[in-house]
Amino acid sequence: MSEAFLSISALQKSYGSHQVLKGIDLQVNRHEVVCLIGASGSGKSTLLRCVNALEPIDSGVISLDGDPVSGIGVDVNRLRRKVGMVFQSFNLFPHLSVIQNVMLAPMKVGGLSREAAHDRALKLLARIGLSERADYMPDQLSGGQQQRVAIIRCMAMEPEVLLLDEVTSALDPELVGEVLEILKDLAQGGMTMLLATHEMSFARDVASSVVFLHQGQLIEKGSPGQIFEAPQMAETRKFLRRALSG
Amino acid sequence: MSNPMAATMPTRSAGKISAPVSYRGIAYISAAIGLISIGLTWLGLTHALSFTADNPDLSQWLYRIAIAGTCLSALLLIFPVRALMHMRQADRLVGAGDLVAARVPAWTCRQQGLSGIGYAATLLVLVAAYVFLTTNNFAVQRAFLNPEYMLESALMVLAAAKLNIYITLAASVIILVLSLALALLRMIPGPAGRPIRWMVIAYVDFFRAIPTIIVIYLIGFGLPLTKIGFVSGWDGMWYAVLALSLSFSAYVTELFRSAIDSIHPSQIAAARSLGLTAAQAYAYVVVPQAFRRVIPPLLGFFVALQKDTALVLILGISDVFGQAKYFAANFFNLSPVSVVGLFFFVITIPQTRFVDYLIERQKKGAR
Repeated sequence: MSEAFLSISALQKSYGSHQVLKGIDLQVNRHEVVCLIGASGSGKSTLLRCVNALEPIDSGVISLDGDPVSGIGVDVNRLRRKVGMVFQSFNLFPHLSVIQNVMLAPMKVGGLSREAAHDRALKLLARIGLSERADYMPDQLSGGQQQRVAIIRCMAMEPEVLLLDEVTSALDPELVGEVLEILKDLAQGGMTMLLATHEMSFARDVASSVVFLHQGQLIEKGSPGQIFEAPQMAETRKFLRRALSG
Repeated sequence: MSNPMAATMPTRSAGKISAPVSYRGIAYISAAIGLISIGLTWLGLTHALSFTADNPDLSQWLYRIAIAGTCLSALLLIFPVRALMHMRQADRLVGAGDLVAARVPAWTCRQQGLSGIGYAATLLVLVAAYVFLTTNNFAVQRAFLNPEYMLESALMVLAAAKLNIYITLAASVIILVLSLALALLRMIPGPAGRPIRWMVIAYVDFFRAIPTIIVIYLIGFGLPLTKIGFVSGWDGMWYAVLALSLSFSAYVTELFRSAIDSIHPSQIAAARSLGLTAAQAYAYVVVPQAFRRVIPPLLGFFVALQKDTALVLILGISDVFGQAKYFAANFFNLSPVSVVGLFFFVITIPQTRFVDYLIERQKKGAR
């Protein structure tokens, strides 16, 4: 069996005495969209933050394209150029205009010239229909627009994997659709994605596989059909009953 | 009635709505306080006349002031009169059965009555200040605000203020650079940075603990005594600049550090996740945002710095205060020093107002 593109094995992580991740094994192949579902506090966000080395891990191995990227001495900056991350609270830089937000990393990290970064940013903004907002400040945009900008800010670095941490949870319900639309677009374009989400219908439509986390453990993994129509584990059934009725 | 609720709602004459409280009492108290204030104003303003029997010209002027002031104070009675008029209006509305409408004039009556009391209190404080200035044959005015001495010293005193302005400008630049550097050193991460962080903490604690005037004294008199070529033999002003810079940098370092700390960690997470190094995240994301937040309190510190430049006179430098003290000693009168007070008042007030404006604008921007 060939190694998966992103491979997580026996990952453990604690905050103080509280163990958040209790040995997670997960493989994500290229062009796969893997949705993490589970209640708040089940470890979805922590798992994503560990993959991006925003949190140090206690034990286990994370490797990307066969290269171990976890642990002491790893060049985290190189890792992060391959792995993009989008956050629940958008985290746009409020002192920079929309286009400057998108241009910053390509210029400072990717070494692009100002002109090249500007071109790339404009193309990406056009893709999400926000070209006319290029010179707006982030707080002049709606939440949905901000999150779309945050997504293309990531894409401007041309990552090989995209991590998305409940990117629609902070949005008003009527703004969720426009963000999911872009994610669908990216998925159809073959982007590899690992995302934590509460949007069950999105998971059902777009995911190649769905993973259920419960109290820091990976309980069940399968195709959306398997997980949503015929969940094997009692915890999964219990969670889905609540999530789908609410 | 088409409104189905009307049946269950009390009608205006049903007696379930209470008539407004009468605020006549407040109006009467306001009138009484107004009358007493007018009397006290007359007494206070004519008090000065008892010292000017030998100066008919001045007496005439003071008499006019007293009359004008008392007439002005009579305006206080407008408030209780208006209050009573509004209350009468309220009574009329109650009589007509419109209890809800009566609340407005009743409330206005209360406001007018209280306003009269507020203005009376302010007037009495002003009158008291006038009495203080003029009492004992104008002793206070002569000691602090003698126009003759003020005019005579003003030119040279204000010329000496140039030195205070130079010191302020030179120290401001040094403080800005030094503080930002120290604040960033204070935040170097990891075990390697620990001794450096300790050093900055020690510096900040040390200079915040020692009164600025002691720092100025020690540096201004101490460094020249060392006879070390590099730090002795400077012009006195530069010792003052150095001392003020060292002292104020401690405070401003803390200011920068807390502003940097106040930037939410998610901003750093976002920057790092895009591949920026820690140093780049600080340079392009954290520090620019922190700097905006820091501008109003920073200007506040610079206002304090301007005022503290008056401390350098202990080095025997002829700054604005030193020059004024020289005149004060010659005249045996403090009016030249009042000129210094006025000088700082005039340059400081616009700046503090500007800082208030910036803070206000920032609050609006945050929304």
